[in-house]
Amino acid sequence: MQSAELQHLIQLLAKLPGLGPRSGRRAALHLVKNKQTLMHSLMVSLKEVYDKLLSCSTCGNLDTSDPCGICTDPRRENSSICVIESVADLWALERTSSFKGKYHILGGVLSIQQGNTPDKLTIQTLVDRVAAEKPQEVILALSATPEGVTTTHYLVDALKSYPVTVTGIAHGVPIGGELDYLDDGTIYAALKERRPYSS
Amino acid sequence: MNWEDESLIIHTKPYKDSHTILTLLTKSNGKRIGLARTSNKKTGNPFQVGTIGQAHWRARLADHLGTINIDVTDVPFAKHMGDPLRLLIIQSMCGLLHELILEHDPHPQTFADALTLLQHLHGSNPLQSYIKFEMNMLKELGFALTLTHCAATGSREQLTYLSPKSGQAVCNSAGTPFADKLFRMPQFFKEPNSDTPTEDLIFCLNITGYFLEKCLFLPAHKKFPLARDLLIKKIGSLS
Repeated sequence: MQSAELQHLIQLLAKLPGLGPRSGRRAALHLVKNKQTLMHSLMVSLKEVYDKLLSCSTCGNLDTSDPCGICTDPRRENSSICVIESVADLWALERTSSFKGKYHILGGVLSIQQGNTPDKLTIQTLVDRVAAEKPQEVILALSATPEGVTTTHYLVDALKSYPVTVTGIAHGVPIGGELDYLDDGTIYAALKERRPYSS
Repeated sequence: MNWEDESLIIHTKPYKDSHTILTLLTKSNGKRIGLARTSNKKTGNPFQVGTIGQAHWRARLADHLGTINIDVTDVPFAKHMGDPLRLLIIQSMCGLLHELILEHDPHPQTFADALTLLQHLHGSNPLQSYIKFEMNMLKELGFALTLTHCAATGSREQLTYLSPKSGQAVCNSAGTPFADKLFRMPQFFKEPNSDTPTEDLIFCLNITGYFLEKCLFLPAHKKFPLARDLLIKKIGSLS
């Protein structure tokens, strides 16, 4: 029989993505076993993040300062803005170190199921940002789902009156992917967006 | 308990990391829901709205959620990704089907109409096919527009108005005194052809939208699919 406090901890851990009641119990036990080395550090870290974390008023990124480190970094290019759905996508792009511009987090994609109408997303903020910062390129890096692509087209319309090149990321065969294992839609999109190789 | 049927994916809802709850419109089994394994986020989810395929559904009892496996035969979404109009038509069609068709209620005609619309997306007049789909949907759900004769006189000539109350055509002589209370009959409703101007098509969509909302969405306390609103906005920007 667990104490009420421990039971509450297990319930909270079980609510985390990817965890359930069983893995919540395992995580709680692990924390209890490593009380000093892990539990205390985790507690301090959680408090620190809770106290200091802010949402950047410019791009929507999570950081301890507003504007965030990316928006204030002088080494980042001001000529391009990459539009993404969430902070998780920003982290994914940053992992690759392939993009040196700035970001704009949309907060989701247009979807009636999730209640995401155009006014619920940061579309107007993006339009205002494009008008003010005058970037040369806006890269739309949204999901290749019907909602994501619809949002992409909506943004293209919203930005068409500004002198900016609007581009989208490619859809197709993933690195290391074998055609035989890909679904029909991906193969179709990949074939449609084929590009010439220069010799 | 299991069945196998031709199906169209009309709604998807992610469930944990590797599953999706799919809503299908099937040819003979009506609207059905089931859990599908959708590989993982690395390879992407092949089950998107508008996808057509042969569905295999299994469950212990008929009213269980059940598991679905689909042998995909066509992915219209992938084919029309670059075309906002056609993409919105797919989403709007699926949104209407998802909101308006009841579960376990077979609508083979609506299923056939949906497949016809998806085929017509390859043509040059997808919007006209979409309007016909909405009109057929109203008919299938019991609120057909009567456009062949006048509701007041029975005349088949000079049908210039449409009653917003009954959805029936009204001839010029009977309708003129009440012209401010009636819809003007769009040319497309009288003679559907490829030369119909965009303004007339938007007007048609407004009329079908009016009846869909009045007869089906409002009584069920449901909202119009967002994609339909975006579709009308998109057509407006094209004209």
